[in-house]
Amino acid sequence: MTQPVLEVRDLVRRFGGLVAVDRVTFDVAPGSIKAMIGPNGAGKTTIFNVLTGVLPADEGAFSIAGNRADGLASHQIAALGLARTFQNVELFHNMSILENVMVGCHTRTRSSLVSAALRLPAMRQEERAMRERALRAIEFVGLDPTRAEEEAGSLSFGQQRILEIARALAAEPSMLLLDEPAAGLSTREKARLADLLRALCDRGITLFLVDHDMELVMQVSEDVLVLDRGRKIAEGTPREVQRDPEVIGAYLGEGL
Amino acid sequence: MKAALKDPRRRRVLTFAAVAAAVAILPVFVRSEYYLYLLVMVGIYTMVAVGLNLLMGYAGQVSLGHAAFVAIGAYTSAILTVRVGVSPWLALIAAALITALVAAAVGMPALRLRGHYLAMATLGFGMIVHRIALQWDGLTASDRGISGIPPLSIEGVTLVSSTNDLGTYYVVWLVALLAVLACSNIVDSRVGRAMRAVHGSEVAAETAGVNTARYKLQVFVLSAVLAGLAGSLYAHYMTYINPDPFDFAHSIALVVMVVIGGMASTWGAVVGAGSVQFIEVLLDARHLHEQKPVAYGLILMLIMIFLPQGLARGGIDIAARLRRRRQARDR
Amino acid sequence: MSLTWGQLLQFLLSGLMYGSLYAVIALGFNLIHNATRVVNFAQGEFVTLGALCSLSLVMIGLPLPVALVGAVAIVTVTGWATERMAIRPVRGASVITLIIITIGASVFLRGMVTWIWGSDERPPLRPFWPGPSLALGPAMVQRQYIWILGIVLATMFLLWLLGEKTLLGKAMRACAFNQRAAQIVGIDVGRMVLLSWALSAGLGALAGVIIAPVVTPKWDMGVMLGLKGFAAAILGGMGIPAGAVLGGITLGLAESLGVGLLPDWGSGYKDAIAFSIMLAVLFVKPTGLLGARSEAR
Repeated sequence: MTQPVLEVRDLVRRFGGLVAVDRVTFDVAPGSIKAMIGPNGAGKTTIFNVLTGVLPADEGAFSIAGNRADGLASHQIAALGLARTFQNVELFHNMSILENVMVGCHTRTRSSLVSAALRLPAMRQEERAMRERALRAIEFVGLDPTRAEEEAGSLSFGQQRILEIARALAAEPSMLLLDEPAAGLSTREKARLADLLRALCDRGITLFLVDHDMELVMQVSEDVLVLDRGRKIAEGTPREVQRDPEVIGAYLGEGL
Repeated sequence: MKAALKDPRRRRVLTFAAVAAAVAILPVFVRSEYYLYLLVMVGIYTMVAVGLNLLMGYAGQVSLGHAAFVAIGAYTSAILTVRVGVSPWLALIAAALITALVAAAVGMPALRLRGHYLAMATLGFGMIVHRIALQWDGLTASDRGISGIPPLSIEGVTLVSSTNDLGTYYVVWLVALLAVLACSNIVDSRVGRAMRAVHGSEVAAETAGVNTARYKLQVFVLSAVLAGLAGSLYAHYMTYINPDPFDFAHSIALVVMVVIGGMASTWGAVVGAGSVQFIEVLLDARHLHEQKPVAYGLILMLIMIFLPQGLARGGIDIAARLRRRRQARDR
Repeated sequence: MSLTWGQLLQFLLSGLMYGSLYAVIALGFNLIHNATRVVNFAQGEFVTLGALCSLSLVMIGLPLPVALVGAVAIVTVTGWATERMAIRPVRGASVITLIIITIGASVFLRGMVTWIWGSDERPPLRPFWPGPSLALGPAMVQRQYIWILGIVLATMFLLWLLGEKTLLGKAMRACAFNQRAAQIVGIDVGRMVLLSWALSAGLGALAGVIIAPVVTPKWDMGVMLGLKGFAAAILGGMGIPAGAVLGGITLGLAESLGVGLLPDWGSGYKDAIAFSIMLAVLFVKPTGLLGARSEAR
């Protein structure tokens, strides 16, 4: 029985009187693609924010690869191997494409302020390795490495989304959280995204995604978790979940 | 040649070489000791400004009390060499260390929070240090000051002292240019990218693993150490110090230097230090000494409103925009 | 170290008086911070301007009450002008930009004050209620203290009325809570921001005016007062009105008792008390005495 990459137990998060996440419990098996779906306001992004340390949990716990992670700061959780993309693309617009991805390498590198100031050989070596890794990540996601020095803002929206994935990839994460990766993409871009997700999975990265595009979710994921108003109402394979009457009820005919 | 200029690393090295060359030959054209003194002061202030530039432009924090770190450096050197008889070079190192410790103590609580808190904390800190310098007679001799500060010398050859303006000029500018180079290196490194990322999107940077608080503290301490070193060199150059040059007005002048030079440009520190020195001399010559705060306040507001990238980057931007507009009109 | 009851009471009263002053200044900080998320570094200058304006108006022959109201009015207009000319143009700019602009404004205002009034100390303003100090038990209370406390209490009551009972006050609080939501509901956020600056300036001027008979008005009196007002604001919890009052009184009492119990340190270190408290708050509980348990990032 292999240890799950992510274990969530009785997670609770409140905003004042509103319970956004209500005792949610689930596991994510290593090497799998799991999706979290549910109507708007079900608490999906809140769960992501808690898992990445952006918000503290009010109750409950979660572990990443066996390490307790609730209560840790975002950068500490990143060091445990969790990477994330955002619903509204959060790129570093003041930096180039390459630099954006190189920031992703941050947790895997160690050069300090002093070694940077003095440009010590170890630091220069690490910089070169970082560049290499970043360029390979850029290639892997299907962006043009020859344009890597251009400003990140010059990319199209769909390309910016892909760039975020490249940045997360550069961290060599054990698990990648994707928050609505298909939002705003054309049909062709969505198909390419599905391929990319499967390729990431083949590389051994566990994927956990949230999205409203049912077709993509059902196509790509092996395991689906359904939330409604902060509570888990169903969990299983895409087919099982599609047939669950409670799930259908929650969506009230949103075309499952 | 143009292609060579495109590579940022090569561009930096070329700029450095050009500025270093200019600094090296400049004294040939300088006619009086007074102007040489001014250039030394620009060098000393550049050292402080470049650290402050890193703090403001990249770590996004404002320090309103950096003159206090210059003071700590200056007084440490003065007290250790004059009262305790320590060698000036050791005193220089001690000045850097003590400044670093004080900065760490002040920065740790304040840097965990938003920008205003550090600004206010450093404002208070600066005033307290100045107050201590004025009042702790036993330590600093209050406004009588400490005189007889020995020069920095190697093998009997005086390098930094009021008796050797030229030697001081070269030593000070050597250190200043190395400081600019070091800061420039930091910007183009893993840590520098991490800090620029925080500017772009703090939440994305943090979830990518950037420990924002730690880097802010490190940059704060670095900027303080540079200020302390500058203070130490200043003490040895002037051979006499008193609390006057370390007051709030000077902390503001430092901020003005960084704003004028541009917060996103390391070389801007040189431009800023030079500009402020120029303004000081200009206003003093016209007997407008009291109007300095008015001028500085106006400059701060006007630049942040109209030209937030400062003269260095902003000037280039404006030139580019004018060129584009002319091209569009010609079409 | 032993104090008589009289001395203790004296220090407490003095602390209460200064504390209420800090509270008024802290309220000014709160107003602008709530409306714009900016800490107004120029707040102290409004205090200075208030004090010096009242002095000048009295000197040109205006009766005291008119001079007081006039001074507050002039500074309120200055606050309005500052927001219009320096803050409005950079709406939406980064925090550091706004910080630098308010710093620039404070330096500029201080420079103008020095230009107009010179850098010498001025004689204090005539007390509002001339006469010898009153006896309160074993302590002597300057009559001005009573005016100060009275005016501060009245001001707080009026502010409370404004915030709770008037539509305008509620609109300003709505902006403080959530600017975008307020905009959607139809509140003119720009006007609210302007009002908060004007009101803040007025509060600062009020503090300057009531303290002018007690403290020697000088071009730099606002710097320390502003700093202490800020310390009071974060001690109580930035943005929380009750916090401003609590923080102000606490700070005033701490300063006064500190000076009273440790006289050898001299008043030079009195200011260090405020600064130390500020650092302590930032280190231990940044959200202040009345603030939330932890700052949600």
